[in-house]
Amino acid sequence: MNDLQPLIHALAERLPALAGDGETLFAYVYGEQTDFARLSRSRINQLGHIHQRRLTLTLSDGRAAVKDTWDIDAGALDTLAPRIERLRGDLAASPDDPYLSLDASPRTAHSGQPYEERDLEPWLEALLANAADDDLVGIALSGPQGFGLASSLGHALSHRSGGLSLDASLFTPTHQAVKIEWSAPADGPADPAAALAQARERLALLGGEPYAPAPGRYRAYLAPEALTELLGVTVWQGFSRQAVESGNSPLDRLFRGTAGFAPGVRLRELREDSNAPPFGAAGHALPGAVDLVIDGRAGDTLVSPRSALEYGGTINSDSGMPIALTLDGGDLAEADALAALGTGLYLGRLWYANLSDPTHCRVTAMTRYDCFWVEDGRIRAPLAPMRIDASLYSLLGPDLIALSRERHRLEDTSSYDRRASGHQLLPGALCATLPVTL
Amino acid sequence: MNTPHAQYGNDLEAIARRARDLLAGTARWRVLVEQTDTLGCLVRRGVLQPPERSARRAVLITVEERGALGYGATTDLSADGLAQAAKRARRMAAVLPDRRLGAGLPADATDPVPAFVEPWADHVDMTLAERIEWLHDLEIAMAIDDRIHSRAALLETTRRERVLLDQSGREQRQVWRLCQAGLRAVAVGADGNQWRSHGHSFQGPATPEQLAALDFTRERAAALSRDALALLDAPECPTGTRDLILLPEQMTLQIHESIGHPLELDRILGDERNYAGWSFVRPEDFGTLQYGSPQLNVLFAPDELGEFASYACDDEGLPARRTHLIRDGLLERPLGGARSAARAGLEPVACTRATSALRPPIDRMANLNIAPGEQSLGELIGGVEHGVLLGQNRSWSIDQRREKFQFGCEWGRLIEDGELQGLVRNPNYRGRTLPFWHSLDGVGGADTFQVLGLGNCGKGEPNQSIGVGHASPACRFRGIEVFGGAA
Repeated sequence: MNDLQPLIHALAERLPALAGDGETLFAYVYGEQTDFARLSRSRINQLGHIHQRRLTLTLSDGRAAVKDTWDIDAGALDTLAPRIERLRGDLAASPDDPYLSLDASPRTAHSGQPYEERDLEPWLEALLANAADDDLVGIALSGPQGFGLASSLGHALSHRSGGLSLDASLFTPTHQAVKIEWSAPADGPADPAAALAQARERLALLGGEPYAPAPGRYRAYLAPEALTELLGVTVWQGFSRQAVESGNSPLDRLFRGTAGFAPGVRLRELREDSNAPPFGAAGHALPGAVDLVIDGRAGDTLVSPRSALEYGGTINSDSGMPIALTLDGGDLAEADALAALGTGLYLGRLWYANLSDPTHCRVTAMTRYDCFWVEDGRIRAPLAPMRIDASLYSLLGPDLIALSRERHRLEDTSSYDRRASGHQLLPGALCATLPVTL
Repeated sequence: MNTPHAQYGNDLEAIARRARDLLAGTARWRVLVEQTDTLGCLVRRGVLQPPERSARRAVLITVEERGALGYGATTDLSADGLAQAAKRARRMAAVLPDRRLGAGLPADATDPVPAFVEPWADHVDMTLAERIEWLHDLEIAMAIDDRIHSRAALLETTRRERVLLDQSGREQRQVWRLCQAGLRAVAVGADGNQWRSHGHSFQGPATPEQLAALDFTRERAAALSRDALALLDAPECPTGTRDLILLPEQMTLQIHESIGHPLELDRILGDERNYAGWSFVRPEDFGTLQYGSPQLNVLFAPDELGEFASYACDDEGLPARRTHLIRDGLLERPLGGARSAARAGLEPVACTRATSALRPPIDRMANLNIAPGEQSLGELIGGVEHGVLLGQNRSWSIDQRREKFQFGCEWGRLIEDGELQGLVRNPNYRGRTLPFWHSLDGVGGADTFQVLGLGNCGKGEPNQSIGVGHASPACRFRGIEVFGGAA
């Protein structure tokens, strides 16, 4: 793609002249060139290309700020002046904002790894030939992404990312399925054949009549891909300083000190290991690591620039939401998980989690994909779809037997509005009791 | 002048024609051009967050070659940008023609396209200054007690304009005025927090009169805070089997998750199995499956004035008409646009929609409504010996085939011997889709009917979030498993 560095430097040169007395301008740019191939039954359903480039301009007079976002092309610089003029009208109508926080320490930095556009057709042809006898459903995305921030103060930051990824499922004729989440390595062949082969092996385990345990409490092993769905209910407002202070956090009791997790639970935000840009929209540099839960007890919250002024604290987040949630592993070897489970539920994935009781951080979710009934450490049958409903304080608290030593890196594959950045790094969890409700 | 939105007149049509001209020599093609202008304002704890405008403009060029579609989407509307998008679309249409799922662009237009009249063309939204004052006024009305730690008032307006051209002569221009408003108060207590909210997503101007008619008033704002405080001291919803009366603000989610999504034809055909899931409904169920009790009548209603997802034509250019999906409990037809319907051998409804011109259109809910019945809310309640009345939705979850669901609400009122009793907190209920709809035995009349909407329904790969409308009366269901909060 069109590297954003030239545009960012051009903006950094132009913005000071466009800012009036006492005004500050920040310009955040996002761009992508994405080929997408949507697949079903190992055939192409939809195939296309998305070119997107947009700019978000923040105008501040030191007292308040207003924003405008619009799509840009090669003439982006020529669109700034009229937008700024309209924003001045908005600014005049806006009252003082005591929590306005824009970074005042300009810097220049360029980060990330570039990704060159490639012809998707041969890769797609090879994939579909390999999967011709399968029922492959999902999406392949390919292309570069770019992020940038420039300001009238002198900020000139850019970050490059992108790649080729496959997020797909393999189905049996009886509607059982396994998931494939594959990304082309930075170095090495972009060949998902091995991932497909492994998926077929896992799919073979899902033969047989599904077993539907009666509602009740069961011993359970939650694979990282299942645990991420449950922890996902904490991502939106769980660790945000603003949410905690305002009573909106489902981890309210954790941060009040009236509830906690097991001593072995350590949760961190580890941005330093993320593919996300290392800068926020307001220009602040963000730390590489934040301790959210230490030895099962509350650590820091995620403090956005606004929250730092509203509630105090040091800025350590752009939005208050984690983008690289990391849970330390434990002592249980993944290869020993079934034996350690003994008899109970192996949950490979969960789906559509939501809070059923925010006060107790109780979450409900459905099983999906490779979930099994296990007896004496051996897989006996795939599970019929089941609903669980359990408190995270219990699952990762008194009911937690062990965390796996190995952890899985789970990339955020969502693509609402744009291809997401970020990931979670999680172990599996062996739990003494997991309530099944339906 | 502080005008919230700009007007574009013939600008989008000119862009569409330039894109069309690039497709000379292409037998089958479609051009969709969109401009979406938004202004969002949020006041939280007395402070206006930075107001945010956006002006998004994009083109989606679709080309068909030997029955295969290729899409080229771009925000670069320069001559070169459009040329690149057209080239990409042609290129993608030619890729691997023997490995396609089938079904191209819809058949050539034969029906006259209904003229879309924008009923609010002469109505002006509040200016930014007026919005700020309006939001502050409501937000401060929620500040009735120190235990209200969070108060939020938001207002977002959108003007969306789309122009669609295709090779069969379709030339459609549609303009929407969308509005989303919300209030939320959070009460913090010694052993937990409770909140109450009030929200609306509708089509129409953002004026104080329109919003007051939807109960965005200081009185309502203060009542939300009082209700949140009352919930702090309320008992938990008891556990057991009870009859349910769901008010429209919970029926919205019930309809959405357990009727709308399972009836999406592309889902039935398996297209969403990697993401949003599948459906228990099979093509052979249309015309044969008794989905619910005879009191269940579900309509695809694109013509409901003011409802969030009303439109004249879908994003494939098909004219949209009101039609039953479920009549007297019997499943009649799916939510399937032209492409899916052609694959399934069924008749389409005009429900193919794209969240923007940066995404290909897929089968979506639009306005999906339950027809009102005859009973008053008092009569519905009077027919319950042991039950609970549930209000505003708070939580939703369902399995990937749309059978086992669970919902939570912000508040409930117990019903005993036909009389409303005390408030309960953290009410939840769970069930299975078909038995649940068969347990429907009371449908409220027009005086219980509300037209509501949801701003963000997620589906598709690449992902798309879209607004939908759900209008419903209050409804009564028999023998449902309910429960409250607990450790």
